[in-house]
Amino acid sequence: MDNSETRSGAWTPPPGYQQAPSAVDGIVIYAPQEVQAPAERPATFKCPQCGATTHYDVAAGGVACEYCGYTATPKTEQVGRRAQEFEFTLETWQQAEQGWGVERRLMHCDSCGANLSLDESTLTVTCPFCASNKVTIRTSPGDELRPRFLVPFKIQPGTTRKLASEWLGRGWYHPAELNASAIIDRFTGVYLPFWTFDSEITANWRAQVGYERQERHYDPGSKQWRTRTVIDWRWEQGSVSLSIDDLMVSGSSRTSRLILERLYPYDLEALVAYAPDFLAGWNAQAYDVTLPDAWETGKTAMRERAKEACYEDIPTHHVRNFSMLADFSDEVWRYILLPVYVAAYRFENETFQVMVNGQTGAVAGQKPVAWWKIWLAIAAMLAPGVIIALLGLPFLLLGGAGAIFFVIGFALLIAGGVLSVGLYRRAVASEAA
Amino acid sequence: MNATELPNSQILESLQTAWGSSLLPVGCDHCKQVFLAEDLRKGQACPLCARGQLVSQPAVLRSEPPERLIPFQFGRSQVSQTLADFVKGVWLHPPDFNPTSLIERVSPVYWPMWLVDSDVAGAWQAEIGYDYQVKSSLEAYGNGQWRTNEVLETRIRWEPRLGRANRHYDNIRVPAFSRHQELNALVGDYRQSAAQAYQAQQTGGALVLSPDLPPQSAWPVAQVRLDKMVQEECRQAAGGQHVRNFSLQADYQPLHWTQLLMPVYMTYYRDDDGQPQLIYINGQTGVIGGRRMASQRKGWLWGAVLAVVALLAFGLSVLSFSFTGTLPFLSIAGIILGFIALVSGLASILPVVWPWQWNRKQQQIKVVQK
Repeated sequence: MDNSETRSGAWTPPPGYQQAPSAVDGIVIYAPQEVQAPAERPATFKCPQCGATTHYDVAAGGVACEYCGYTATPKTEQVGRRAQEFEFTLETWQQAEQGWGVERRLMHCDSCGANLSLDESTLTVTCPFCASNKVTIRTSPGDELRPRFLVPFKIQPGTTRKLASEWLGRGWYHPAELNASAIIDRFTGVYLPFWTFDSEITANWRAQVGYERQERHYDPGSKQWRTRTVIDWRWEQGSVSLSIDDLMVSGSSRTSRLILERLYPYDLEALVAYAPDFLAGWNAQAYDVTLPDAWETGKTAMRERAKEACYEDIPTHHVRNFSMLADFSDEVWRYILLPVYVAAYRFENETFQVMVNGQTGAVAGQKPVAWWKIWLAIAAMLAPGVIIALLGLPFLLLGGAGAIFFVIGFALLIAGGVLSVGLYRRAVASEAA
Repeated sequence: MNATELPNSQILESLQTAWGSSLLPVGCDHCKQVFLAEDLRKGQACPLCARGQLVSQPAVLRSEPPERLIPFQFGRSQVSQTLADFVKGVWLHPPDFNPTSLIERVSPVYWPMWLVDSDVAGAWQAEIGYDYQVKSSLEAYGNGQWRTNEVLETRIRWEPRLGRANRHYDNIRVPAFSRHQELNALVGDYRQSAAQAYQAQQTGGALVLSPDLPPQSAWPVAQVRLDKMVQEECRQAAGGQHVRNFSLQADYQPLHWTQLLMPVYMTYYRDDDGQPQLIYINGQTGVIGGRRMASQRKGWLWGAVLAVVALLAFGLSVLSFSFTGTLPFLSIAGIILGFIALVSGLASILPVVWPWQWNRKQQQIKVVQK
């Protein structure tokens, strides 16, 4: 503040301030000007040089025209994990619970004048009449609920088929002809919605913890002194602090969460501020899993981590009557778009999904299983135990060494059973979506 | 900001009456505090220090009378009861610390505060805090199940605001007496709603303490209070719940200074050392404050008496035991006397230690001492 201005009465507010409502007569208030939300108008991508349709080119790292070679780098900045996060305010919560709704809406193509009907979860469209690429941001119930950050595609579309082919060739329990016979459709690059959550958790646990102790006792049957292990139980309590950063939950109910989780991790240091240029010519989806629903999923994962941390805090593995209280604090969230290539392939008249992480090239998806290989492997794993135990049986009738055979056979059977269950579960998961 | 114009006072001669009343300026020949009092008060002890006498003397006073006055709400009979209750709680109190002496010395006194009216016009800036609520979670696990409790936390969002203020404030209260804080701590606050327009006859029979903080000295406090008022109104104007880092560059004019007179009964007693100990009673609420000293002399006396009793009992006990050979029943008397010696010996410590401990606590009470 300037005294001379005060004296002269010619006081003016500093730049960037605008007058705000005042509840008291005689007091004038100025507040910083609010940053205007991005315009609702869809962005149309046409080459300024030749008028052809432009799209985001991964190799060029910007919007490019494939006809005249024009390229333009998006005007944005890499924000990484510093990307703004939001608190769970009551206001946000109420807005988020509304979701996007299910209505369709019209987008007017300013290139050819066509009216396009858009699904509410669609952020981008290519006009079927003039082939121009359009990117829109839908009317959001709150500015925070627009996509503000994204990780751009780093993997070029041309490499996806090769990556998928290599992935199909991996693994011994899939059909041998899978790599050669699978017919992979065209990979579609799509930005999928994700929620990220942070939280500090202070977990206080209480449980009966058991400590093993060796004890000598007299066995009246054998009339001998023997040693046995007994467990002393005592109530204990402790506290564990966890800091969970950027736990990701998919915001799309249309893609397999199971497959998406196998695509992790994404390097969120590559997050950039949202610019429609990144979406030009690519598909993008808005969330249809609302923030409260996603937070419920995230919170469930977090509290399980807290529970695991509490168990790790307990010095023995003998625990009973376990209870805990996990106090969450500083919970924040962020809405981002992550790049994924999605495709389907057909094998023996069945369709399977496959996805490629658009940033790292990691591949995940459904893979058919040659079940005869699984059953054969399971039989091979169980056989040693069964054979040795069977061999032991006649000896068991004679006593002495038979018992040793039988015990070894039984142990091998158990080990084979455990391995078999693991293999079976992996095989089932491989086909699951 | 323009230089703030502060009012001047005038010298009131010792023979002049003030503010349309029959009150004359008098002063204490020991603490030099100036009062306005009726003529018959001359020669009486100063109620503020109890060490000097009130004598005629000129006073520096504002010519205009006080604006508001809070009248005494109760008379001597209730003061007497309040003093009796005050004395009752002290064991081994000094001889002079008794209700009769205290009520004889009671003086009703009005003490002053400045009432400042001013326009404030200037530029301000601050951070305004807005409360908002966030949802947090408390997850409880037990018996194999999770239970979710949602917790609402209130947080503050700070936003910069600035602007101009052009407001008028009336009757901002500012201390006019240099010992205001101590006196206020002893007798508590006054209900301002009971204040009436000043009338000269209301001060009859009472002493009126003359301000010893002139407007020139009281202005910094007045300015801070005016700024606080502006700060609070800026917060309200911006619709926030909190404010911080407030700054204001303003002109304060025209300033108008008047007085508010508040009632207090003052009395005193003399402790063991003959030092006066002052007691104050809020003339509106009856809250009483001051040091309640115990008599260390009485303590020593009682201690000595009990010690002598202990010694005598001990001597008799020894004597009784020495004759138990010939008179066996004396052993019982010896035991009883020994017990009496022990109890009275221990009890003799109490009256010595207790006044010392009690007086240490009383010394921590801040009194109005000029």
